Amino acid sequence: MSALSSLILFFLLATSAWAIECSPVDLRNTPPGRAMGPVRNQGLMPWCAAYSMADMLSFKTGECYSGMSLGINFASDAEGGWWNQISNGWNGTNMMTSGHFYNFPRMVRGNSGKPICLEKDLPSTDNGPMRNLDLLRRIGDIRNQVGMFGSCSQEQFNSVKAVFPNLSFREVQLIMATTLTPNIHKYLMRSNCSRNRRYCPQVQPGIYHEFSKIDEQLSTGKIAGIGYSSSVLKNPAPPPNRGGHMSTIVGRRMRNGKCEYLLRNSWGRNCGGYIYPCEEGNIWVPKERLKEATGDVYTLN
Amino acid sequence: MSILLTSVLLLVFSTAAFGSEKLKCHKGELRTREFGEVKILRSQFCTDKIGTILISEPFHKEVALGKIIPPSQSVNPGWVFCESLKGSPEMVDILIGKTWYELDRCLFKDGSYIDTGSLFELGVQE
Repeated sequence: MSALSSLILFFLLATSAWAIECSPVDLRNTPPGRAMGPVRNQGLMPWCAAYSMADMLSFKTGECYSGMSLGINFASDAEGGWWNQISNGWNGTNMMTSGHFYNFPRMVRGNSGKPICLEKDLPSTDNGPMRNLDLLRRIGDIRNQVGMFGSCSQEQFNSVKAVFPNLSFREVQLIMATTLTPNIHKYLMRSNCSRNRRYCPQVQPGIYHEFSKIDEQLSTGKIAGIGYSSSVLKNPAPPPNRGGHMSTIVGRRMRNGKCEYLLRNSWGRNCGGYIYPCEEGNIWVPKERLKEATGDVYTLN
Repeated sequence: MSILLTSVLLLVFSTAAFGSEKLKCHKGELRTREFGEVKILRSQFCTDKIGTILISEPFHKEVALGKIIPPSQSVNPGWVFCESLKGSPEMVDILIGKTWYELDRCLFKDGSYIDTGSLFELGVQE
């Protein structure tokens, strides 16, 4: 009889542990989750770490922050100055590594306490006929052409306004005339968002190698970032590595006896090409597949 | 007996059709941004009810069908594929009812376009 009781007790404990491990969580529609807004689209901007940090910061504070603004702060300061990179044979590769997933901890430290923009003032989505990366580079060129005492042409102003939509011709002119080239993007950004200026809270990154950190975060109502191979989303073959991209995990559920995680990507609201169930750019990825593709788990503390 | 069978089959087919993705094709409005300027375009396109699919009418899928998708890890692979096909990826807003939904599209030189997710589905991964 006692053996039977032990067996039943063991079964109950095992079942409840299993249930906790994959209990349903969906943080998209909680009040802090809603602040993240629709899934962003980084287009050809290689700043997945900035976009993920924007999601995590928006979730933490309840206001939707611009990933673009976090990327500009980081690239301007933490990387030793944007213009230095460009003048040292910049070809896009440097900016690639700036926003790379493994730079998330430096991205957090590089933004902590700094002025940042809301998404509505500095949209993170890549731009119209000219890519944001090219536009940012062009803005540095414009500053060099205009010099301290020159004036912008309408065409040059249009390039600036494409990235920083709130600035007037006069404001751009003034900043161009009073700012050195390495600081130009940072000061244009700050002026662009001056009406709704925010300061990034003093935050610290958490870096973990244990996949179980995701469950720990979700169980306490928090989201987590992951550095992982994005091939897992669109290709059933084993992932070639455990890095290359960063996204956030915002939910978990049990479906057909298997645990799935809700991955909030930054490739826009469309779902085409994902091999797993997708809801407006959020993808339900099976645990075992996500685990084999994930290198690090990141938190914002 | 055959009437019963036909009824059952009809029910099965109608349920399947209800569950599938339904696109509505019409002449509607798109909003684009060009160097900060917002432009509203009227265009013939098909979309779903929450604006996650966008395909112009006409759209010739041969432009992407079976083409190799270049590898990419971090940036949007649909945008990379679009550029490899000499298309231009860009953001648009689709007006559905009274709501604007943000989506991207790959715009081709002949004026046809498709959202980059649907474009990706036409290609082949290496």
